[in-house]
Amino acid sequence: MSAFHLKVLIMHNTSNSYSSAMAGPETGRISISSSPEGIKPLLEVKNLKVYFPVHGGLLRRIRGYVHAVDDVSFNVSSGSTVGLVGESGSGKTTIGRCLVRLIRPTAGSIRYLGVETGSLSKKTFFPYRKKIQMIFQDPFNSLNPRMSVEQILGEPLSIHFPQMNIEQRRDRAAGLLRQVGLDPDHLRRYPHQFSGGQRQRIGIARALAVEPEFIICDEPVSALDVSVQATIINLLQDLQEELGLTYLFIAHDLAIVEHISNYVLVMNQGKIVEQASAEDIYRSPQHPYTIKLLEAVPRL
Amino acid sequence: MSASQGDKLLEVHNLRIDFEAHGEVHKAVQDISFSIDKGRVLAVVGESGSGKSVTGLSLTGLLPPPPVCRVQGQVFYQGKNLLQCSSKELRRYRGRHIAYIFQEPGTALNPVFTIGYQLAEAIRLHRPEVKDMRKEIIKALDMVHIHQPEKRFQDYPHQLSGGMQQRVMIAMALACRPRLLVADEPTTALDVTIQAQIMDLLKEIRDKLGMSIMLITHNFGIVSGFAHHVAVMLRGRIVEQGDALQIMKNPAHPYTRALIGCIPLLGRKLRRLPTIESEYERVSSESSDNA
Repeated sequence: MSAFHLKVLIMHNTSNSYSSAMAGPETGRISISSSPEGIKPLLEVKNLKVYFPVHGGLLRRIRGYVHAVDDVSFNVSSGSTVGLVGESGSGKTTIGRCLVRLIRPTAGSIRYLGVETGSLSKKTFFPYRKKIQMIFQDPFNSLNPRMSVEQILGEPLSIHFPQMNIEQRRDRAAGLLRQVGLDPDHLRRYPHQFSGGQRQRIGIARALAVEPEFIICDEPVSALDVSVQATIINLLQDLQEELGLTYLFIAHDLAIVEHISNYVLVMNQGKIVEQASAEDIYRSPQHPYTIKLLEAVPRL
Repeated sequence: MSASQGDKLLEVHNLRIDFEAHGEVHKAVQDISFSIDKGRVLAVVGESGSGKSVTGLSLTGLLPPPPVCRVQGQVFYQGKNLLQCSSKELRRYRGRHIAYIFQEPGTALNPVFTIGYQLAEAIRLHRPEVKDMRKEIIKALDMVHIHQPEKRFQDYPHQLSGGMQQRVMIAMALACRPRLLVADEPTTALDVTIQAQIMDLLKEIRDKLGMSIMLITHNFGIVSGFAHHVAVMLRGRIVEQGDALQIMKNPAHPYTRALIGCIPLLGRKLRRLPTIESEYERVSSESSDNA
């Protein structure tokens, strides 16, 4: 934890202090491990907190803090899929962004294969950007409309594999398109020439380009038609089997999360209110918020 | 909902919509016919690109004028063919008789005016007889269950969440007391929990005001328990239409079965999710086995 973040914490000094939060919110379950005993998890998150300052008044002074993520702990074991559900504003995207250092955590530890990545500098974190990749929600805004598919897929390669020449990059990009079920001839096309589902496949190919171990899927199917959602979910599962990937799957729809995940975390207002295996969450939900989420899923 | 059969509010006959671009003609909607009874709900279900949204827009001439877009056929609203109305005549029907709610409330609202101002604009245009505008706005917001409407009507759209913005859109559509509400994917941009709330609100309005609703959606999951009739669209054609319960229980067309099959349901424990293609294949092979 850097000195700056410590200062922020001390300045904040709310009733919601470290020790009282450690006593635990009213969770239905206490276990915080998704991995069997003995196996070291790929990712360990402990007491993660992210507070965003709220500015106000004439001088734009800090008036208070939004507790976007408040004392969250969970583990992700290698090769598994951990689902993170909650409604918008519950802090699930903030957690995902913390893991790839798009946001700096206020407090807490993030360990990737035992290495504390939360406090690494920009330079020392660089190799982890290759290992941890992200797939975004909106396939219309997450691809640059001025770049061709070849450029979109080539950019991460030129950053993380500088030894590759243009020919090698093109070959790899074509291979990636094939891997996600698109035609390699589409390399010269631009994003607007694809449908929503196809664009999401390009987003997945871009994440796969640098051979990651861990992918954060931030609502990858929320913007898609129900019928297209299923094809993307199946693709993600096939890729996981083929490449041995680990997923953190963020979504607001419990039906999809229950399908794809081994383990589910339910988030509400910055806190994890319940965590258990996908089966237990569906069969015997403990927390009232989980029950509310289950009831919101459409039934036939 | 005591309307007798045959009490038709809207009748669409042989509707065709063609778009022309770069010298090519794209047939968005090909020869479809359907009708909506008074106080009933019709759900038009289909994937993106099936022509369901343009069908909704064509009812009150909201599509671009020829030569870009050609609309043929007949749209009878209370016996009047709307497709032959002048644009001046159509304005009398828009909002007052047929109102719309769209998919993305964030882009449908004007960001530089308060929601109260935008509501007042709609009311002033369609119901000039209203005297106490403030009271009317508060009434409209109260109807869609926005808390403290007397405070919230001065808010700008960005101060509201997506679900709240959609409530404002519904309030705006209802403020003109339309006979037919066209809801074009009203919950697609929203969370599952908020989606359930908005559908409950629409159900309440349907029962309270007895208006007809045309629900356009890609998700069969929100159709059940809401719509009386369903029309399933595929590539510009209606492949199946009829009673909602019948279709949900006993879909006749393989495409309808595929669409219903790919709704994510809880506790199914499948290794792979059924997709349109896989379901289509499975269903077609089943029916050929039976034959």
